Amino acid sequence: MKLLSRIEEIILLSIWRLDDRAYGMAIREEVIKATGKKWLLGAIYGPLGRLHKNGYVLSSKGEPTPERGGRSKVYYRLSREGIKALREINRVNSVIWNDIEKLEFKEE
Amino acid sequence: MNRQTIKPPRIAVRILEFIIQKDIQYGALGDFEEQFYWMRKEHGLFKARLLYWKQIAGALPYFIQNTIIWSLIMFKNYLKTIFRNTTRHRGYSFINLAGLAIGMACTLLILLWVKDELSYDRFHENGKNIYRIMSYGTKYMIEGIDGTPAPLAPAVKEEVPGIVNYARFSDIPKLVFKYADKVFYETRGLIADPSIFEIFTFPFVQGDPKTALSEPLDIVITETMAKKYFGTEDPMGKTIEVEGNLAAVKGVIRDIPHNSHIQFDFLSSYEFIEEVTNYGTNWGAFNFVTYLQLEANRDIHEIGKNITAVAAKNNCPQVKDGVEFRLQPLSAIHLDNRGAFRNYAEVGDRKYVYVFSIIAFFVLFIACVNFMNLSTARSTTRAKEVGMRKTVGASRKNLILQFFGESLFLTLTACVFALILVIVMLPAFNQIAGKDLKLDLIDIQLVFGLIIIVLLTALTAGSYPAIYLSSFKPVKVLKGVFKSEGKGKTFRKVLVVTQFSLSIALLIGTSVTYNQLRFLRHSKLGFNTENIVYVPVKENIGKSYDAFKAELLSDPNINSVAAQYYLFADESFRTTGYDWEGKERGQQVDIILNLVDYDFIPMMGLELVEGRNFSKEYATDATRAYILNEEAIKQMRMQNPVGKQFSYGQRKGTIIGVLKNAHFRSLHLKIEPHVLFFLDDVSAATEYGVILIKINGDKTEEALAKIQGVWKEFNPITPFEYHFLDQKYDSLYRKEQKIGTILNAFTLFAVIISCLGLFGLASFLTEQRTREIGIRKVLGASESSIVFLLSKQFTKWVLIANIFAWPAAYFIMNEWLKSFAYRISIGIWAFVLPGILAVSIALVTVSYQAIRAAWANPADSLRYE
Repeated sequence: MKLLSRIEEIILLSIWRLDDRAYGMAIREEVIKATGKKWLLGAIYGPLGRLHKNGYVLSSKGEPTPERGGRSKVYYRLSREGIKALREINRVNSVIWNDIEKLEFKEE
Repeated sequence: MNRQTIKPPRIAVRILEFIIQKDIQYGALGDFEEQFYWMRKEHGLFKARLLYWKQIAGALPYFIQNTIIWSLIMFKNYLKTIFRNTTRHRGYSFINLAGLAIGMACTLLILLWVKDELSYDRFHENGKNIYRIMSYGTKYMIEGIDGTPAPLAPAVKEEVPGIVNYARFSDIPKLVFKYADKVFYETRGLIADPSIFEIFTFPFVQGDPKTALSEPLDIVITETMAKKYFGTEDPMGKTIEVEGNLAAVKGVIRDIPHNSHIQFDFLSSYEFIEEVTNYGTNWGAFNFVTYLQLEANRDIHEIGKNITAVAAKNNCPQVKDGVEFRLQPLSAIHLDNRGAFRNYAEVGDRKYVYVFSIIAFFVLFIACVNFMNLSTARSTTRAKEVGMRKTVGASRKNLILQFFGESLFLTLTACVFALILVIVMLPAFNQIAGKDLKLDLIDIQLVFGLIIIVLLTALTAGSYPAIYLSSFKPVKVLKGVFKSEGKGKTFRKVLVVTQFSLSIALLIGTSVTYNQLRFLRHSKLGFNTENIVYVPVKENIGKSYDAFKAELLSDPNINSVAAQYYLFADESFRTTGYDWEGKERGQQVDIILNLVDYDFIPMMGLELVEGRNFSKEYATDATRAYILNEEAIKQMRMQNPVGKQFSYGQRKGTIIGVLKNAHFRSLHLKIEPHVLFFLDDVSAATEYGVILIKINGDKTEEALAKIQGVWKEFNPITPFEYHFLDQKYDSLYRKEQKIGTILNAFTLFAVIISCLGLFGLASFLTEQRTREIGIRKVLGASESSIVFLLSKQFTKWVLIANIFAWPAAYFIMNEWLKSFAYRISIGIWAFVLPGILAVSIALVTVSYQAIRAAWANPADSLRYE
């Protein structure tokens, strides 16, 4: 399987964490919270689009609100593929992060 | 409610739509708008907008990485496809490229021509505020002439508000200039007010514009003229002998640009004419051209009315009779200069600017049609490619872009060839058009024009292929059952018919123009122009005219000699100051007057319908006799004119003869009233006078040598100069001849391009039917029947094209012919011949392919079945 990029991974996790509240704005907040960096809204959609295209996330429309110019919110949730991908990442991570306690800078 | 109306910046939204992936766009747009909404609540509208833009910028890096890089990779593939397609079908590619290149070259040439026509008089710094005074009046049959009385301008500047400055011009007859051993005729001189240098931009190389023309005998010359007389010497302050006067060179100016309607080699001071004539106070002589410099944004109608009022107050006789003055902007003069006394520069014509622009467009369109036709006809060969591309995920938009890209690429290539063609053809074109056009690729206007031509061509040529080819259904195409559909066929028919309609219309235009010009050249003027040479009346020749004449007539190759006050083809001296027996009250007839001697009427072969010629037997003829033409008699409403009283001012006399109407002047004009006086003293005619010499047509050279010898004998100083009368009359239609030649050339190109296209189409369609032909032959069809079968369809289209071309061409050419007072009527042959020509050219083009196909051995074409 194809490995995801870091930001794709974070977005996927954010969507899972947000559960049924995962729409664009909320995902961005979540990503900002996780990384501590200011993410521009636009920067979310590139990776999100790719995830959507590759079938890791599914979308569904919510209720229209006036502040969105009458548009509906679009909620994202993980697809079977998405969950599989996260599990896979987790597995890979736990293998390669295995001895992380020993990580320290050695003075010579 | 208000928050519904305040939206994010629209352009930003469009950009967003463009860069965000389609399937998540809906949600994204909503999110962005929500973001905008909260931002606006928190930071206000301005900041919200800024932040909105900033948020979008965040999407860019990903977009660039994913889209543009992939586009470049696809672009490479597209280029490869174009390259393969062009090289695989060399013949078609050549037709496409050649057609487009020729078409674009024609368009470029015409563009250069039009640009030059429109560039006249734009180089003057005050240009926008310079106007020429034009005189209009129905009574004198004056339709907008540029003549005005000399005292008008000073009076107007004094009394009418809004006028900054004025300058007056008058032309000077041909003069002999002499400096040391250099003697030349100078024909391009003008008399002008010194203010000309304040109003117009004619930069000085040497001398002071403020004082240059202040003395009566001051002259200002152009650089070229300075070089001609003085070579490397300093011309300033030198004196040139001008027919007995010593003129001092007070300034040298740069040569006048060709795109100035005011043209001259030297300027002479207004003071000079002021000294020798009374023009300065004469309100009745309309012999000055007046230019005014106005203050910005003045109402020119108002000023025109005021000028007329000033002239009326000063008892200008013409104004009392209804002449009024109007102002014409400087920039409009070149294209609307029919009324000029004497045209210093070539006169343009707005009509031809339009006509040529339209022709340029046609020729280019014809080339585009070739492209469209061949691409759609060859669609079967591209169909598989389209199918494949669609199968692997190309959207219709991708394909449309691809095909437009292809046509743009081809057009650009054609453009390079077109530029080369233009460079090659420009010298010849310049010669035909009498211009000095240059292809200046740094010129922004030109480059801009070029870009527009390329884009327009690419769009037109690529439009149908792009839409048609991209619409193929991959399933159908790849199954292999695809055949070019009926829709494409009909469209091709329409295109070919349009193409040939345009070509045939151009052919008809060419034939009508040719016939009209031939008609002008060969129509009976009512007098002879052949074998008549004329020389100017200069210095001693006027004084010793009788001896000069006798000496010439002693030569057997010289048949007769006559003198004329001025040449009808050059000038027209007209006035209404006549009286006659039975003249009605208030009746005015504008009659052109000229003076001739005894031999003029017989030499020209002019016919007298009544009365007699001037004769030595009647002593009173010298001062009392008048010969009028039929038109004059008709307009005067006179019965039995011979013997009736007629007078011009104080000169009272009788009518001794009536001339049959003859076309003394251009056939653009109706025959006008003429009156001939007797020219008693030839030496009075030194300004414009000519001596006409009828020579033996078989011994032209001997006769000319004799004339030159006699001239030298009587006139050792002035250079010998002669012209042929028939050439002079031909030159009256030079503009039309030029236009005719240009039209011929472009028609030729249009026909060539159309035929190229037809050739390509025919060869393609014949190729497609190879098997059909093979089977027909096996089943016993004769070769001729196959040629007929193949040629039939194309011939039919070209025949149909005639139906559209004829009425359109008739309408346009009829309009053009209206500019001639004497014109041919367009006969049916003017249509039939071009029609037949077009059909036969098309037939020849097609039959080459048809014959080749018909003669092919069916065994070869059927082998693979």
